Amino acid sequence: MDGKKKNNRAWFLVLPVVFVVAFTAIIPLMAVANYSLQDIQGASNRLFVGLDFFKRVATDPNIQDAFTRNLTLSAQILLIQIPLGIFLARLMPRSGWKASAALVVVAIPLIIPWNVVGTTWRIFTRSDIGLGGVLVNQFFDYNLSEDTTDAWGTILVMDTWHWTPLVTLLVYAGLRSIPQAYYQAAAIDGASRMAVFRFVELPKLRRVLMIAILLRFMDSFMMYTEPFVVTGGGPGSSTQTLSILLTTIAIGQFDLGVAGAFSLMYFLFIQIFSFIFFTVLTLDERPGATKVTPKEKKAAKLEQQAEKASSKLKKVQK
Amino acid sequence: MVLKDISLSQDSEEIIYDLSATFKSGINLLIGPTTAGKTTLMRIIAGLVKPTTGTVTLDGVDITKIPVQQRSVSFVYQQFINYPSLSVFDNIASPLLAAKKKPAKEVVAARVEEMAKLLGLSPFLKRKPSELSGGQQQRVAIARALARPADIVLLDEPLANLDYKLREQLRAELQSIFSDEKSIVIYSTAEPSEALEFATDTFVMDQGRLIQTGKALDIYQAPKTVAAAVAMADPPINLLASTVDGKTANFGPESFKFSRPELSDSAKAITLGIQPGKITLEAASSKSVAIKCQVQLAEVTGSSTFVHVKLESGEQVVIEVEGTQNFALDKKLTAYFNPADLYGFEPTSGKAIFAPISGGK
Amino acid sequence: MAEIRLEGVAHSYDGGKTYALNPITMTWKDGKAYALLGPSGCGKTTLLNIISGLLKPSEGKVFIDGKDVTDVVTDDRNIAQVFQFPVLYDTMTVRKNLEFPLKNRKVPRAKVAERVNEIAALLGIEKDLDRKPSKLRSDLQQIVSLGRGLVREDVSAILFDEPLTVIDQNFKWTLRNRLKRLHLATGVTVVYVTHDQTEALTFADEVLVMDQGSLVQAGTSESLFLEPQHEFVGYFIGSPGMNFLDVEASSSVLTHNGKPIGKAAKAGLNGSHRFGVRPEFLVPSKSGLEFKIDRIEDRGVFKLVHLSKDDFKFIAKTEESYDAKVGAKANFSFDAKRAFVYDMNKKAVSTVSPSSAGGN
Repeated sequence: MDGKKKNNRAWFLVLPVVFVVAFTAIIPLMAVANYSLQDIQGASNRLFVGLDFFKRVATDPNIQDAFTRNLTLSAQILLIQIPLGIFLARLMPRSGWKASAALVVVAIPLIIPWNVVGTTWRIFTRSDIGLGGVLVNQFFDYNLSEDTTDAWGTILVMDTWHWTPLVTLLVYAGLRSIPQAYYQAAAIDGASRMAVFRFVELPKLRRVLMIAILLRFMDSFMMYTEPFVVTGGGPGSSTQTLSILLTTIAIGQFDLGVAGAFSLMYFLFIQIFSFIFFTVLTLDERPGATKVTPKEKKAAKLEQQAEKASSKLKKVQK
Repeated sequence: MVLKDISLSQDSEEIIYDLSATFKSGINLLIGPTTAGKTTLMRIIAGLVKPTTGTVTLDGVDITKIPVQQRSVSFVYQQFINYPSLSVFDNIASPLLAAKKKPAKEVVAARVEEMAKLLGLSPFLKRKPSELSGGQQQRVAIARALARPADIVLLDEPLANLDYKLREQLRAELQSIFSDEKSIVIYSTAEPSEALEFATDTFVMDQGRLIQTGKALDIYQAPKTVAAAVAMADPPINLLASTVDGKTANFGPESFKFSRPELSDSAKAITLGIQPGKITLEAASSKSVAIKCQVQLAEVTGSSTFVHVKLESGEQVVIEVEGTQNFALDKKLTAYFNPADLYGFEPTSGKAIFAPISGGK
Repeated sequence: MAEIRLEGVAHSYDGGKTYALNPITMTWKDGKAYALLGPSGCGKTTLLNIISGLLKPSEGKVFIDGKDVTDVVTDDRNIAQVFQFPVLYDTMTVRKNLEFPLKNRKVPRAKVAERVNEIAALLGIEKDLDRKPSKLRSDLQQIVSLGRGLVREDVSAILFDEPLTVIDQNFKWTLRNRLKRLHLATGVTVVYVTHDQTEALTFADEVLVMDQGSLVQAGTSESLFLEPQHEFVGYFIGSPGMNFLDVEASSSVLTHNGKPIGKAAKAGLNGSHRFGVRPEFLVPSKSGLEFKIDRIEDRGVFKLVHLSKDDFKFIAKTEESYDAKVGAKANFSFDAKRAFVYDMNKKAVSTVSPSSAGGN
């Protein structure tokens, strides 16, 4: 209420962030756009090709494969990690020292650098010297550098180990914010544990779950480090995610035009998808979000006023 | 402070319409139902929200465009808002320390102790707000609001979250605290009894409009609209549809002689109003009209009893009688009222046609 | 329908260091409405949660219909509770909300439908049955919450925990009347917790006044108002509360600073005491004590006259027609049955009659 700096001065504090974002995001993005629209062979050798590169990207079978692959991967990840995260969150203690201890344990996978996660799992899953690899080989034939299913499965397990805690923590926070009275009322109503979950917890977790799903989708669709370190995209291209393919095109093949177009389309896809996803899911939470035209709104308001007037008369009739 | 033609629209919805009012120093009461727009108006006065049209002038100076940080305003909220990590002392001192020119430490300490003494907080200066009871926390919020003398002090239903005995106590305290204040104090409430207790300049709001201003008692006795009558009555005023023709009127099924200078001879429908306390179970005078009714419910408060009765024509009426009286359900009673105590309103617009005649017995 | 009995029930949240609820023993009869009235922190919510089974008392036993339920969980106690804010299942319609408790207990479908319609009619919400509860007004939401409790036929008692807290001012009055009517119509035992005296006194057949973890006085609204056995009851009930004055008793004659105030009915009373009389029973009279009128508040239906005499102040509640000038002297007296003298433990010892020697 008192003592805030004047509005103008606050802008200066934002400048450093503007510079950083400009250098690391906007300028490079503009450069990428530049490369995607022109075939640049050298400093003085550039040819405007319009949407040529974009067409090439859209029709390239490798890219199409990787796209489908990535979508499947994301879908599977969501299907595993969201329910698992919720399950784990419900198991966690709600208060006391045990709650703090549980939080720390759950958060550990999240704070490990992604490169290290990848390397750890790479060694862990080696069928000759890896603890996990050798153990699994006692029961099944497991070799992730030769078998595509094994490689895919390993990526899934690793990602689940790495990222489910995020879902767990978000859901845990959401659960903690449900007032006790709801549980008490459910107990009084004789609701089973399942019913409490379905009718009290899930509805109240809606917002949190939306964020969790959105985050997990975006991250899994852009996944790079972990699969790259563990399988390098192989065997063959069975675990080649879109971003791994992109890097190969850009840096391996130095096909900058295609890479530029690929990048932009990749970027736009995630943006648009997330936007649509979020909008659809929050449609009924917007104020005045029902599909009522202004005319209908006015009519409803008049009706409301008339009702109020007559209800004042009928007040004593309740 | 003068508000002229203030209106506020948000998302193409009008929230405040065409409001003009003059507030003088001392306590000004803002009363109305919850959705009336009281909080929104206070936020406009504080400068937290810019009105779509209209001006706010303080002592002749137009402050409409001045942002809240530069206005001399204090705000006390319903939910006792204090800085949770600061002690009570630091809380009260915070507005003083936030000023551009920080006063000397001793000056700050002196003022804080003065405010603490005024609000009975002296033994709690070292505690954190979370260690205090609700009433004490609200007192800290009030002390904080008053620490730095402000031109405008806004209190938004400050006692609503406290238990009623505490409310009584704080109301009395607030009256004495603000009696010497030179600032303009605007106190909003939804409870008519608070308005009558403060007995000061009252502004009645309903659905975004200012519908009546005046002294609380005057509005109570002569409301200009049904909304004002409803806003100022606790227990709620009885309202019945009636037909008058300049000579008689009907109260439910009973017709009685009734004429007022404001009524013409032609028959028309109006809404009659009467306070529960003005209906009695014994005829007070020869002018009393008798009404047959049946008991639906009796509520005893100790000092009085509220009897809910149903008239033969089906309307429900509440009668307040003194003391504790027991009524069997469905018992038939005869109630009496004096036509001089009736309010009359237009049925559609709610405008007042006539008010009770005071001293009419 | 149930009789609830408490035996030595007490509760401490910190293992015995401080008691949120001091030992209480009492029986609540079947079908009546009880109110637990007291300021914040007096232990009323603790007591309510012990009865409903959401809290296990650190001491004592709870019996419902003769059965020891101290260790029985909530859903086996056949009680329903309405909370401070409406607790509803957002994803279900009102109808499904009402069906929920019955379905959980495996009641046959036809009976469920019949019961839901019956309760909806009783509550007056038939037309809202297929709407989502979040679209209803707050007082109707509370009615639906209540409906979930009433829909079970095996409910012995309904507990209300300050249910009007979030209700708009305009609807508090009507919702309260409705709750009372519903109680009369259903005949269920009801325990209602509140800090609002009007709610408690109008709703309950018997009010239990609590302060700081203890039961101070239990009685009808009438007896609490007319015969407060404890100073706290005199103070807490009534708006404004009782007028109190320190007095010295000498052979039952009460004086303040040497000036006579009245005579206690009980013989042989001596020592320091407190005199109390409600503003409603301080009436203008030709005899009585002489006061100076400091201020007159016109509250519409009544007037509050602020009086002062020597070093103390009293408030009198008079009819609206009372007419007097501020600053003038006026005599007020009290009825012998309506004034009390309290000992140093705040307990009422006797009634007081006015001094015959019309004091000054």
